[in-house]
Amino acid sequence: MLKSVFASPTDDASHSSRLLMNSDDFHGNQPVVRTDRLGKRVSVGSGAIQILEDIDLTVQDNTAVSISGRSGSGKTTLLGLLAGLDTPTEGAVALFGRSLVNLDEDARAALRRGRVGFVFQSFHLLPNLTALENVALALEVGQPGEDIDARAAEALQRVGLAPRMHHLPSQLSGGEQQRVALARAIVVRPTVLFADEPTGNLDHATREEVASLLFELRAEHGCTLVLVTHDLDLAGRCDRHYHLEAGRLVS
Amino acid sequence: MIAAWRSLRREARLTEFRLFLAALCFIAVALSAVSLFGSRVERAMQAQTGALLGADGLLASSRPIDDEFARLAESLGLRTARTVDFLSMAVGPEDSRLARVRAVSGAYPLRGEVLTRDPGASDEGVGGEAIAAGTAWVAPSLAREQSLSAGATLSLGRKSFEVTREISLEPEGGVGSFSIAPRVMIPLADVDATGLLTPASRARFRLLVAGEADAVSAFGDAVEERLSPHEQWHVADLERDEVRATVGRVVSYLNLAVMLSVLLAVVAMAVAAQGLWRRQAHAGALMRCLGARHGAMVRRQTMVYLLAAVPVAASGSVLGGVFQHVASIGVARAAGIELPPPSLGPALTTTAISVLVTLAVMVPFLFAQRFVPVMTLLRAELRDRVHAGAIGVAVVAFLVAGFAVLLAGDLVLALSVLAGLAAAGVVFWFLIRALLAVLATTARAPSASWHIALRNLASNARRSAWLASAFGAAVFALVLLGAVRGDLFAAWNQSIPENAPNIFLVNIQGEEVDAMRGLLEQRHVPSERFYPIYRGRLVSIDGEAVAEADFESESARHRVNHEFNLTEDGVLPDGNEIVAGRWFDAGERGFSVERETADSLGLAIGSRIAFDVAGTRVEAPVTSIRTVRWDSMKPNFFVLGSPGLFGEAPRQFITAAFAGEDAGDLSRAVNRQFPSVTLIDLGSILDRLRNLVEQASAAVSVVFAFTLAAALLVLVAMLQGQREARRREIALLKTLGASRAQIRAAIVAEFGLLGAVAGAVGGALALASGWLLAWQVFEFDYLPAWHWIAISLAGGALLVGAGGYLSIRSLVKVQPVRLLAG
Ligand SMILES: Nc1ncnc2c1ncn2[C@@H]1O[C@H](COP(=O)(O)OP(=O)(O)O)[C@@H](O)[C@H]1O
Ligand SMILES: [Mg+2]
Repeated sequence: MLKSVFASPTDDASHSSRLLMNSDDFHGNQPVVRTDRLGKRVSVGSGAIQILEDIDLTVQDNTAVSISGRSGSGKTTLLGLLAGLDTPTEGAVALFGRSLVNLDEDARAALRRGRVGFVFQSFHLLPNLTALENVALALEVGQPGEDIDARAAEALQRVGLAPRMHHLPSQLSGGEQQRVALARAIVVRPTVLFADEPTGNLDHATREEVASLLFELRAEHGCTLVLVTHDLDLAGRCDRHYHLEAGRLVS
Repeated sequence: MIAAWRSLRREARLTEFRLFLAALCFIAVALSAVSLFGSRVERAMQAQTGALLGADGLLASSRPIDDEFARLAESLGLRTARTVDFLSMAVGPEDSRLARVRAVSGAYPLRGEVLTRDPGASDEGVGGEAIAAGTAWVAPSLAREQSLSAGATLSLGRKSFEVTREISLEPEGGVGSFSIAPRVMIPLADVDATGLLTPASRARFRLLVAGEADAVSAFGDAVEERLSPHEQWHVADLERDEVRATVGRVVSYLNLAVMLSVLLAVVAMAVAAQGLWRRQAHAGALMRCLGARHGAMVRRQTMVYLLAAVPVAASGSVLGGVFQHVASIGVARAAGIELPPPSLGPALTTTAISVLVTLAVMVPFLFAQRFVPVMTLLRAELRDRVHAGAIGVAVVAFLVAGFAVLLAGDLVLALSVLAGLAAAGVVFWFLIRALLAVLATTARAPSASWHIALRNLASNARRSAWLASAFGAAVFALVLLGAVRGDLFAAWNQSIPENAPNIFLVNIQGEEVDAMRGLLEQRHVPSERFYPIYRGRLVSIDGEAVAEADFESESARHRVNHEFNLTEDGVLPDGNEIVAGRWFDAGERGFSVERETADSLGLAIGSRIAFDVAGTRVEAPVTSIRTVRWDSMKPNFFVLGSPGLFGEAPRQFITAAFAGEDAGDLSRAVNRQFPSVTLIDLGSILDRLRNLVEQASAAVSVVFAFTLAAALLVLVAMLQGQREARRREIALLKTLGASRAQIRAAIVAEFGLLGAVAGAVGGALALASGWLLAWQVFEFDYLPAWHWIAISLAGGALLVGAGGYLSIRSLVKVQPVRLLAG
């Protein structure tokens, strides 16, 4: 049925020339993420369920895009596909102008390295690493160099956690942990920031604090933001909105 | 490298990692303690058998032995001694007598000792003395016959010696030497002065060596290459018939202990590794999300584990060495036997094995991480699909099989244990899951707590089965070792009944038999039959002359080279069992050959063999092949002839008797009445051996208990690893309205049930495995000790119940809201 335009670069010249380019050539006026009739289907027991279907979206550089929808509508699944953490079953997705469809996991990781930041609902700090080390980890993996600790400390300072630098995650509150995660996400000065319900595990007061910080940091670094949330308040602060309903986009 | 160090420092903050290293340390400690100790006991045994030869190895020749050999031995770090044996007339104050003279160098004997006493005394004698220049030690029979007292003069050739001591025990005084002439021992330096040794005289020159087993065998190899026809190389191996049966069993038992300790430790480590795997999977997913490449991560982490494992394993090995040293001091004191010093080899091996185990447990997992989707970061429920447990089971099975075979050396032993283990694995997994499912659906829970416990067991079937299997493995190992140990000693004690013969009387002349029998009866000393002994050299098989060079094996060469002690008998001796052919019919001419002798010489039923017995050729077919219970302490024979087979050939008689504590008395009486009869006291040798066996095995059990402690510790670690899941369960129960007391009772019930099932199944399988071992390896009658099942069931319930309760106790007090928050 659906034939991917990315299946082979020579298949469809018009699409290819528009969407496929060397990611190193990527620059500001190209879309950061672009999908073409993206779909995801998983088999459950004997049957299969279509989680996402016919998703066409474009995220331009230096914009904030929200993806909202009810619980179970497929937001997390979509984010995973956009960031190359997961592979689609139909259609195509390109990150930094590079199709993810035929890349293996290592190649997709290489594409993310040093250019993508993540913020998760459940923080995902490594429990045996201090705040500073957790932030530094992103640099060790993404942008190895001399001044890792200094840059990590600076990022922590920016999120207001300089005094807690040497604390383990278990010694920090939920809001503080998420601020460490934010520092980890921006320390590499990413081109794009993916966030999945970044305030979902926080209480009301901290939620606002973390949300404001997220948008401030995005503005400061001028990076693209793909924000998944069912919180309409948060979605409202973005430039562009997509709404998912039962796996389909409704604008 | 620096990055790996940094990662290691960070990793070390994980409780899971520390537990893993603790398990690794325990592996190293247990392995090194058991294997060092085992190898030392084995060497002590070897030295004991060496004591029967006076050395670990000896080079014998009919001509003086070139100094070059001694230099070679010394360059290999071996101690050396020389002896020269020859026959000579010894001229005493009353008479002259043909004596077997042994001239010895100062270091003789290298193993065992020559026990001496004042001439005419009857004590056991003391050892450790060196023979002084110009003095001679004599056999008790000679001392009595010639009325030699201390200070008497005995002349050999042109030199007179002062008799100072009487020899009560000397190496090579075993059953094998049926000698005619009494012993006279003189210093080697005095040989020349006697003028008895000329190039033409018949003498036996020997170079004795002793030291590290490796050096001895290296020396043996070097010597065998340049052996001239008049030279022979002998080693003291565990082939001595009287002790082989015992020592063989002990060595097998030690092997078993080592194997089971490794098994347990590996299981323990895999358990500890599970928690680490979970952390690792999470960290790995995060790193890949940040852009790390899988291969680089595998390399980095492997480096981290290596950096951690090497020092931990090395220090564990050293610790184990210290531990076994303490144990060995106890053994040495209790058994009165000096264990040889520990060697570095086993410690290095232990370290290497421990590090390998670490890598084998972790590295496959690092590769398997590729299959942990990065999406687990976004979707928590995917995490539960990472069946680390399945990988674990496969890894453990593979490891255990590999190491067991590697370590056991003894394939049958390894396979028996592995068979038990494989059965245990399958049975545990399925039986326990089935049992739990049945319990959950059919059992009518007497209370809410029981209901919760049953439901929890059933709904976490995989977790429960894994826990039960780990604990069951510990029970299996302990019961197997415990049961086998008990049976080993029961069998040993049975095979040497209280009134087993403890002395041998040899060189009894035909006309002395009746008088000797009379003496024994008069003193109420029960004795065996009097067997006639013919000395014969095997000269042909199926009509073809035999030569030493025709045989590959050491034992066959030895047999061809030496005279057999042959006997003839119309009745199959006790403890002998025909395994092929049949016993002699009346009037039939034939030989009955012991099985291993037949195997090594390539004899079968119907082979015609011929012996040269004092110049007469005696030829007959092999009509039966026997097994012999060597540890029966009765006269046993490799080759038995049918009655009358040897005709009028010269013969002497031999018998064994049980003289109990009166061996000394009897010895004096025999000496007085039958000066030429030699009395060999086996009791002291066997007592020492038996003592060593018991102490060694007791110490090994201590070491094993130590391993079990390690397993228990890791069991607790495993329970600790479940805390997260338990935390959620308890919170849920609380919100559903369960009281603390109910939850506590439910936990104890759940773990107790699990422990009971694991203990019972582990115990039962251990008994089955033990039966297999008893039958195949230890060769004794096995009495399954059913009470072990009850003990392990109760023990399992108690231990796991208590452990489970202790590990989760603190969670019960926490408010449900706090529980949910984390
Ligand atoms: N691997 C999977 N297997 C089965 N069902 C899945 C899988 N991934 C997602 N789903 C289902 O797809 C739907 C969308 O999930 P998700 O993307 O997490 O939604 P959201 O983030 O909007 O709550 C849910 O019903 C979820 O259960
Ligand atoms: Mg979601």
